[in-house]
Amino acid sequence: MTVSFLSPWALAALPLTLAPWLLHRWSLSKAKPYPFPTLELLRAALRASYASSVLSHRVLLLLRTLLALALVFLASRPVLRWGRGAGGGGPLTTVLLVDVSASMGARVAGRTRLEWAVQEAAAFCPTGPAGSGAGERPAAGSSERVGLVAYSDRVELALPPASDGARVFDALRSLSLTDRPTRLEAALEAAIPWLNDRGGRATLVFTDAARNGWRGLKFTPPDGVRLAVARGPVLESNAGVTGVRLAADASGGGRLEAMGWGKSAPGAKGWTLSWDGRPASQGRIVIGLGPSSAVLPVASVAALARGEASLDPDGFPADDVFYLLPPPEARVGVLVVDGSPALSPAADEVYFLTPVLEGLARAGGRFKIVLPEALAREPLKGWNVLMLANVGDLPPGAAERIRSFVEEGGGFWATAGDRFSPGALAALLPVRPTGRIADGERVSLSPEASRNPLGRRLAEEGGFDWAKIEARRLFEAVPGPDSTVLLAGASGKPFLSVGRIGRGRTAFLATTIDRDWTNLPARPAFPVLCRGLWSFLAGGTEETSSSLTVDSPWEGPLAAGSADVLVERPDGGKETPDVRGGRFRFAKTDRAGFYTLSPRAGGQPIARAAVNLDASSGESDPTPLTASEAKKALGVSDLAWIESPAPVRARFDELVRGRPMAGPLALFIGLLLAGETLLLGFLRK
Amino acid sequence: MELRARAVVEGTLAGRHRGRRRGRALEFSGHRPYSPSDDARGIDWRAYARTDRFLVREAEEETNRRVFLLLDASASMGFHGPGRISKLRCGAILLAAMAYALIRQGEAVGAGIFDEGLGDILAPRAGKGHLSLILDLLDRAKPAGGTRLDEAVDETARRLPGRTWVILAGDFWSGAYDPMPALRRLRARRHEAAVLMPLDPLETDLDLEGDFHFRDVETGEGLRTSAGDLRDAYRTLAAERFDRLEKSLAALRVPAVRCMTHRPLDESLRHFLEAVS
Repeated sequence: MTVSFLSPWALAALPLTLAPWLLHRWSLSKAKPYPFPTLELLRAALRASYASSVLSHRVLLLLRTLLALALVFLASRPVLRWGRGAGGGGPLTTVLLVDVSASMGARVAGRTRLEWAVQEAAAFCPTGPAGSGAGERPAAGSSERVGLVAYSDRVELALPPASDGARVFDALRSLSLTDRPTRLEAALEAAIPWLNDRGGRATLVFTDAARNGWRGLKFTPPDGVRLAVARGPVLESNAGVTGVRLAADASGGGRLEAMGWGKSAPGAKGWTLSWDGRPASQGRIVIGLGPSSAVLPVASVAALARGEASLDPDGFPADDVFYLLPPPEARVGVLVVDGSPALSPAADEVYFLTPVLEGLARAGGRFKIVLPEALAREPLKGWNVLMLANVGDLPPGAAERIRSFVEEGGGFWATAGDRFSPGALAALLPVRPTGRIADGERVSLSPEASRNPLGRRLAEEGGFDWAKIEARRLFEAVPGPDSTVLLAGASGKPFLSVGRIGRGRTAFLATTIDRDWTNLPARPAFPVLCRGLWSFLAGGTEETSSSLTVDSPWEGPLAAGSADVLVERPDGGKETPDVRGGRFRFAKTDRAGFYTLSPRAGGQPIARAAVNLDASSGESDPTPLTASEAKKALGVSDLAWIESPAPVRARFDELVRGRPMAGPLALFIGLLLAGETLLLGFLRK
Repeated sequence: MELRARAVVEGTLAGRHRGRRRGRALEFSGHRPYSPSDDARGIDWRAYARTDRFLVREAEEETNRRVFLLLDASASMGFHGPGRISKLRCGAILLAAMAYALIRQGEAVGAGIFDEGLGDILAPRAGKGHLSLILDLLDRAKPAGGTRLDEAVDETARRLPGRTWVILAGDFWSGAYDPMPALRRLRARRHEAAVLMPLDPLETDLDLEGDFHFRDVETGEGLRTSAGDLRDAYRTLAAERFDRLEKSLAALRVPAVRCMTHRPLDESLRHFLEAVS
């Protein structure tokens, strides 16, 4: 049995234990000289009171010396150790849980937290007879057993406990960071079943203790397993870009807004918005201390391809860049049939639509507005979307031409109004019009919108208060069997519905696109709705998820004959996605950055995706968990807590294999104090 | 010193019953008829009962009585507590008062100072002039040296020519030298003796708090200790010592009175006179 100290530097105060004796001697040496007639009686009195006085003083001196000694020991945090295993005797089985989530990439004092964890964890690999230290490859063969679980929000690697230290050592060396969030529970679930054996058992979590991974832990610590947590270097401050939003304005233009969040050291940070590798805007901003958010820059954008918002990198650079890839709507061509033209521009059906179309043109798209009678001679080939705005009767043969256009992959969008008559078009609509015009009601995103890419995009746009859109009149319709209602009135009446015919898509807006029946054209959501709908109807890459978080699968349609494709990852690696039924699916979006889908044979990219860290996961939060919070999260009262830069192996041995003596020492100190008080009372009586 | 002695004597005698406090110095000599100028308290009522006449008792001063005042001036007598007079001063004043009273009564009074041996002495004589010499001798006494009470008493006994009343003022801290045999020899020579023991309250109570380095003023030896730890034992031992000393003196028919320096001196003198009467 041995005693070791967690704060051995406190033992430097051991000379203080002489303080009571020195004070006693000093007090006697400072005794006031006092001439007295004779010492005869004093000496006799001293002899008579020796037992009760001198001995009491010596006992008091002893008590005070012991008190000082106990206080020094308490400060040095002694740990009583016996045997070699937790709980006494036997070799120890330890499972190392190493956090490889994104936040472990935070760089403190020149190295990442993962590098810290790997270096400290290597010291746990059992060494053979020859022995080897951390950083060297240990020999195999030892009575100690070590297992390894690398985890983010899932188990990335799992090695059951074994005495082969070299295997764990090699696995540690192979660990790499992920851009994933943290979920400790996953690692514990993997590790605990390995610790059902008898004998000394322990788990040691190497983590930065980012709070996100510790919330809502459902974990019951098994009996006899000591839990230990080694918290890595603490990131003092961090500021990151947590979101970038492309917002269309009423004129059809666009704004790019980046949002920052962070706890940053005082001082300004530089920000940059770049587009296709060229800076679009830059400046400096102060992100205050403490959790705060700030809208960083706002930049006007026109032709968008792909871009980044970035801050000056800090200790956690992974969240300093946000990748943005807007939908490729720029190349959409829209042919608009104005069913209700007017001499006064403001009374024209497409009055509010025109600025949006002009914005589309500025972004690389094109459009044309024709009257219904011109539709007969207007070729549809070459357009992506045909839009009938409040169109009544169509020229002969027009309906057949439109149907053929849609079945071959074109998009068709009809809007209602007082001139609208479904007639021959009814079969092209995603809904079945009843012919009645109902009183209007408030509009909202329908629950089924989330199942549709366009619906998801409208929901993700944010900032639009759909409830402020009011349809004063609605052309009543019943949803078709294959249709999806994206926007609906309060009573559930379809407001905007989409469907599919052949290879094309159709849409029906049950109200006007001028202000006769609705306030929609005057709302900021109108350009977004139009451009989103055009992209969707054009059937391009809009349906591919262009803005993803790490590990969200990227999927979308593939044009016929383009099944042989490759995905280029942000790190330059090329991998083959799953292609099935005219669609592709790529699941290995484990790093933030741009992913590009291209034909294997080369040529223009088919689609792109921007993958970002999950800003809501809390990985960017530099506030570390404390020991008491960790205990609470794990539901345990006995947790060995080790903080960097303490040597983890040494502290683990002391805390897990031994018993802290703080409690007994505190009791002993209490008894000494009580004894001293009683004795002083006796002496002063 | 004379003024202090007289004040002590007058303070001692003020208000006292003169008839009962005349002492050894007065001897009955006969009766005379009462006159209106006489104090009515002087009337002998027994004689009146026998003779039916108012007769006044007349006293006659005793003569040929010698008194020797012996003052301990060793270093220990110089001790005094805060705000109090030293034991030496206390003893000197009390002896001076005795000298004043006795010489005023016509007694022959002598005096001597001793520490480690008998020092200056004045042979017993009567008269006011001699009183001045005695007072001067007592006033000049300075505390110094050790205590050899035994030698001082023996020397005094040898020097006194006839039966003498020896009044000794000292603290009796005599170390290894027991004064009792010397006092016994003094008594054997038919001298009478009485003891005034000036004491400071600190000597009997050790009323001190804290750590002290006590130094024996006569031997120079030291002792570091906490006064509070010893106090109880010291008080007990001091009480026992002085009781034992007084019993030993009583066995020699030597009346002894403790004169505490914090008490009024006339009160101490009164106790002494009561003890010796």
